[in-house]
Amino acid sequence: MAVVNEGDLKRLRDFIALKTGIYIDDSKLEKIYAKKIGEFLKQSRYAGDFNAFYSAMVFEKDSKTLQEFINFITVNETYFFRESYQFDTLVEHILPELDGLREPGESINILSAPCSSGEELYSIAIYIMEKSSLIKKRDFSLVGIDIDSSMIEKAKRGVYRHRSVAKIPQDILNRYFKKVSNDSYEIEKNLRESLSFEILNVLDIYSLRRLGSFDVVFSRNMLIYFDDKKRREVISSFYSILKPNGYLLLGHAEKVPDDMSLFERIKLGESIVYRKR
Amino acid sequence: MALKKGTEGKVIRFMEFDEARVYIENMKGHPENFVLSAIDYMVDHKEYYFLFKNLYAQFGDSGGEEYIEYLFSRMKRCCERSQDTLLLKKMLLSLNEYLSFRVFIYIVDCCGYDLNDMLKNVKIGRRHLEYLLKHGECGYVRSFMRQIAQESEKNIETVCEFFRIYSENFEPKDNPCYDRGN
Repeated sequence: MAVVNEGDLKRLRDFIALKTGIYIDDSKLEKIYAKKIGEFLKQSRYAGDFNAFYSAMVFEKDSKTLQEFINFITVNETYFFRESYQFDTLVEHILPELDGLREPGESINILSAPCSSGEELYSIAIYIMEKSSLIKKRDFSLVGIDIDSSMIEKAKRGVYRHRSVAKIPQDILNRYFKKVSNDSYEIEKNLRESLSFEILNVLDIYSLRRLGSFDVVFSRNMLIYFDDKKRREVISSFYSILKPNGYLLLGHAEKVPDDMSLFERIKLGESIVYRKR
Repeated sequence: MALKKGTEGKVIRFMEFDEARVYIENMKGHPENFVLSAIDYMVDHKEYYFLFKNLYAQFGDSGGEEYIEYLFSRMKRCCERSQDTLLLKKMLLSLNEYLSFRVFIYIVDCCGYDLNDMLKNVKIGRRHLEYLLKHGECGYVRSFMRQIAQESEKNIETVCEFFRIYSENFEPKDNPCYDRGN
């Protein structure tokens, strides 16, 4: 394993924060990431040469290794129907309200950012198909974005391990998945082809805007990795791509800072949600 | 009706100053998405003076929270020109509390301004102090906090002196500074 000294680790930590928004605090940097980064560096084409690696990353001379490094740093823990009370809130409260506000024929657009390997966005799609009568009345456009290219590839492939689908009721599992091996399930083709997944960094405002405007943004368990400044920046970006009265749903441990008046914090069903003012 | 790919949103991106200018000069009179895109243009092209001047003129007293928040969230660098800094100082002292506090957050986050100078005459309340305490890693913040501590100590001494004289007519226990040995 290549040994990376404390100063170099901190330089790399600042670069990661700038590039991805993810801020690694001193204790995690030392206890968890020092060893992992050392291993990554040793196995990379730079064979342990930190300066060569760092220079290639900062000056973006090696986009392949940069993408691999971003994939390596990001956290991708998720599964189907995770914190499903928020999906209940979506179909029982948010969608009926938006239906009353939007023009007839206007589609409802939902963004999952970051979407990781797609479990959240597919869960939303299944909830809408199963529990919302609005699917008979309106089109829905569901988009997932993530900075990690390997996760987007996995989301598009739509094949998951048993552990990932364990929370899905059996009848729904049978309707939307095909068992392809002892431990893997594949999302039904029509559903897979109806959703969009893109590699995109939430800090890139222009790419985010290019996606269009949204009625609902799900951004769960990403902001906890950001520092205050980046958190505000991303929340403002979400605000700018939400339609009037659109909703932002965050993870249970996350919140819009109290002094940011862009959103109204309300309780709908079992969920705390943020409505654009 | 069904699940479908793609959204119908139009992307607004200004390429020239004059295209964006009109939306900044009259933020209240234009659709929000145009104004936000005009702010993007101005921030990316470092037109801070024009941006701040208009923000202050239109929202110096009240309102504009969405534009104030968006603008300062998009600011990735500290403005260095004296004309920009002067406008930041004006905004810090404005009647619009949202504007004032958001500029305060911006200059603390920047960690590139002498806060003893920038925050002169700014009324520092509890939420300012709470924010400063979270950013003690910045030298300018530490220096400003030292100054606050020194001033507070002077104030406390004055108050205690007042109570010392006042309590001469009462029991010492009625003096709130009794435990301080005054």
